Amino acid sequence: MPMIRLDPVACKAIKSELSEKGLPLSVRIEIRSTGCCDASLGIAAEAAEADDLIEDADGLAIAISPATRQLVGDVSITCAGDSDGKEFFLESDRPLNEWAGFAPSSIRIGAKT
Amino acid sequence: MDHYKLFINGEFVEAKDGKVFQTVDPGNDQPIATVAQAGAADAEEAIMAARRAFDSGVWSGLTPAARAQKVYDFADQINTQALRLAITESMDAGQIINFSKVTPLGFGANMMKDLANYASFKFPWEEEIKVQGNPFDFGRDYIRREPMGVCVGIIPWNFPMVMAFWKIGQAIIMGNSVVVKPASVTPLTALIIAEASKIAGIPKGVINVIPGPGGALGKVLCTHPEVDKISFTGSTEVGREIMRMAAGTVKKVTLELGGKSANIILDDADMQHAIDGSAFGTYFHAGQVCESGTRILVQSKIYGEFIEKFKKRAESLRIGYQLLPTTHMGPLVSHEQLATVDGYVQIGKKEGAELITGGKRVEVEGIKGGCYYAPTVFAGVRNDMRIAQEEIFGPVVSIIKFDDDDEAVAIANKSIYGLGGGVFSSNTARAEKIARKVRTGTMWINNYHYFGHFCPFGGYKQSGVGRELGHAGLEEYTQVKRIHVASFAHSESNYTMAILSDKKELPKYIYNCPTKINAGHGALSSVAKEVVDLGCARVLLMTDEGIIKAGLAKLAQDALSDFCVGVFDNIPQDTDLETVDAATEMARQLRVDCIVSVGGGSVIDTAKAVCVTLKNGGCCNDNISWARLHEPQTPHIVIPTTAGTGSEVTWAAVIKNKVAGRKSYIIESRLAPNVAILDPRFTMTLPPGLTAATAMDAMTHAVEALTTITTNPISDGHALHAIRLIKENLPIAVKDGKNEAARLNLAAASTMAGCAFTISFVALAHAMAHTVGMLYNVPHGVACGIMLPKVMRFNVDHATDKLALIALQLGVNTFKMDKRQAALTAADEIENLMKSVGHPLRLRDLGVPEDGLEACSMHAAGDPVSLYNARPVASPQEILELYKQVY
Ligand SMILES: NC(=O)c1ccc[n+]([C@@H]2O[C@H](COP(=O)([O-])OP(=O)(O)OC[C@H]3O[C@@H](n4cnc5c(N)ncnc54)[C@H](O)[C@@H]3O)[C@@H](O)[C@H]2O)c1
Repeated sequence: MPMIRLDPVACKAIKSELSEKGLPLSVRIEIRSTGCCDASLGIAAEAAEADDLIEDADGLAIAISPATRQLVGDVSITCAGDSDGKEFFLESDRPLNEWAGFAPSSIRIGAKT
Repeated sequence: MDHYKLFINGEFVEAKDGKVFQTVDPGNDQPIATVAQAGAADAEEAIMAARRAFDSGVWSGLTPAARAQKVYDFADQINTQALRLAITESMDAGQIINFSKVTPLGFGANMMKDLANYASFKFPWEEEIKVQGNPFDFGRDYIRREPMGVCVGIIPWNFPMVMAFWKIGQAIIMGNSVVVKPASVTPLTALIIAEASKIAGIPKGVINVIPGPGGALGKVLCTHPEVDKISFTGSTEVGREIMRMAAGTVKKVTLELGGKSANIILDDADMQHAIDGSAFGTYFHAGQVCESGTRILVQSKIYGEFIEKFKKRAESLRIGYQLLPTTHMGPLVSHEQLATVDGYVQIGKKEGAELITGGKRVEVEGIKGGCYYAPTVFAGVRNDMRIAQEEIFGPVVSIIKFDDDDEAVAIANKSIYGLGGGVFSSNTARAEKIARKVRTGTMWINNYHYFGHFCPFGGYKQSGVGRELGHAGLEEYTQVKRIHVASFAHSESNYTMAILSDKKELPKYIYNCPTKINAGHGALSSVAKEVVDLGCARVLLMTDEGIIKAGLAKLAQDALSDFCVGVFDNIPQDTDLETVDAATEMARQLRVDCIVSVGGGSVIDTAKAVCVTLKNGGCCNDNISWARLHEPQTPHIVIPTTAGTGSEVTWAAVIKNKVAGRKSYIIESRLAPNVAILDPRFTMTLPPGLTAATAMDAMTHAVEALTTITTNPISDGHALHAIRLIKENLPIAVKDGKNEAARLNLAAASTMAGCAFTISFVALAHAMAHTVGMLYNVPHGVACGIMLPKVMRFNVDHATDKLALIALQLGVNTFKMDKRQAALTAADEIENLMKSVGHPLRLRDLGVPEDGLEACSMHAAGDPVSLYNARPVASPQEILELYKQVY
């Protein structure tokens, strides 16, 4: 069982967005707060950290910190239907909160890619 | 362990699928209650119960006052449950007891009573629209504010009780039914509030509370066709999705979302107050407050001192179990939130911010577990760091240095959010200047987290849509309906409906000529008594140079005696905005309460514009309006010195806008002067040329008033007699200017023609005259006279009867003529009259260049009065032909 279940359409969309922006094909799963209460899982175009767990999906390196992994378990990523491949739903074995997977999010372009 | 059930249609029920979940005390990780977990079927039932309750009118149909009585009972039940609510809230949400114990009364019962009282006594449920802003048709218009219907309130876990009060209270006070979904980690107090409502007798189905998973229930609640409005408080990411879902059935949405508010500490702030205020602004409820001041912006001069003292203050906060009255800061709401907060602290460290205290979990003595985190301070933060841009929602503060006030504002505004913010300063004016520039929903000066039931709360930018609380918040729970009752229930009298008809004449009319007229030799003497009768005492006399030279201004000033406190005489022919502004300024300085104008149309129109500008404020350009005024204006007495414009009784003032290169019109029934004094001595000094020109202005008013699409029998009467008087008296007055009888008759004719056209309007001859007047300074009356006969012939097949009547008034024996022939002789007779008094007949003699005619025809076609012409004007080409005929 892979730690990250990446839908092939989502994989293609992520890779194409990274290439469009001239970024390396590596992303990190992060816990991100968009304000007022519930945080959510998101994708950041960022290089992996030293102790990250890394998985390769068809040429795309996906990193996740051990702490996040421990908190949420395995993560699945799918493309949001009407977002032109720019937004993704992230769900996990142990939902971060009651709104997990409700709203899609876009790739955060990190500072140190 | 206690067990809580869903509250649907006035009953506490288990979930249809029997699901149950546990809720946990974040202070010690112990489960405190089991709760029925609503699923889609329960949401459906709750929505439909709310719908039935709303549609039945059992609540929505009550008067606001009747609803208020029930809400007061509800508030009393909340007070009865206050202690239970407070303890439950603390255990469920981790809120310190010192806050939760004041919530039921302070933020629940009082809020409900205050807003219900406001809704029943002060909220404008129905409002008359005194001015419709439609000058064409008439009617009564009013606004009704009506409840929305079924409202959904989705509430977060940080202030579950306060939010339940807000969502339930505002919705039901305004007559709606509501379905509330509390946060799954903090579901209990909303259910206790539901219990209070049941005991208070709020009807079944009006309030429904369904705890359950946001993701699954959210989809049902936000897409259900029977839901009319969603009010959500929570994360920006979820709010965005809710808005998208609501778009499917175009629900009204209000969103209270995230924030990253700036609390600005100026170098003149009271240091201890700023430290305490900043600590309260960020560590209250462990920073789990969306409008927290989590970016503290500190001016460089005091930065070092502030950091040192703030670190000490943060470290002095007592962290502990939330039910202990000695605790300053309790736990975070959950272990997931704890992980999120700690994750951001690690990000801050990696970004290079300086962690000066905190940054770690805290064990509370005697308690195993719990979600406690130390008050954390980052200094040396750059505003572009993630810890300065993303809302951490925990006790973590980012301190940013700035040099001057503008920089502070720029930093504060560099955020996708705009929810709250603060300024600490000993200079209120300086602080307010900053507060006005920050793009955010609330700014506190020398305070933080201060809420009030009547103070609106909500966000700029991605912090939200709409407002909660206060008038603005209540309005969000209503929709606006406009009801129009036509004054004339007759399709042919409806100007707009006439667009689909070939019959252009409008049979309806409203005759409103309110000016009192004092006429006759020596009528001037009445002026002082009129001032007194109008309740005035300080008169500005307005006139122009020509009138002063003719000795007329002095006559008026003497008649006014001590009432005259000033004279304004700098009025050019065809007045302009600047002149009105200068006169208004003088009137303001002299604290004038009445205007007496002595002059021709230029003076009278200036005075009219001064009257409205004095009354309504601003400059003349602010007061250019058409059917906007509904109150009496500054009292105005007119002594006309020309017998032409009729401005002494009309609703119009014509003011040149030199910048725009066109004439502006104020058209208001409230512009009609209060009194017109027709004293023939005031026109006797008019030279023959001006006598003829101004009389032809009056003649054109009369003829056009008879031939517009809005003509009517009363104005026809005035117009016809005015035509006869002008025809008979103009040649006499031109020959013998001192003939008092002829002068008085011409003055009466001008006034009558004024009454006629102010009701029935003017038409194409005026449109054409306005244009050559504006572009080539052709005097208004002269231009009117020149255009009039040609336009009469142009209209011959559309106003035959009226033109034939005019011929009779002009003394033509039409006995043996057919109507059309008679109508055409009217135009001939006007030309004969002009010839007999030496009135110009051609534009070329008045400085109009031939190659300018085409542009004139375009302008005239665009002049609104051409719309009233008897014969519809098909194209500028037709107008050009007419201009050529008089060239
Ligand atoms: N408000 C309305 O309903 C209305 C209607 C028609 C025209 N107007 C406007 O009125 C203005 C024209 O007014 P007007 O034709 O009365 O001329 P006017 O007020 O422009 O005066 C023309 C000249 O005649 C002089 N004068 C006036 N009375 C005199 C007298 N008794 N003895 C000696 N000199 C005298 C004035 O000093 C001035 O120099 C235009 O701006 C026109 O747009 C307004």
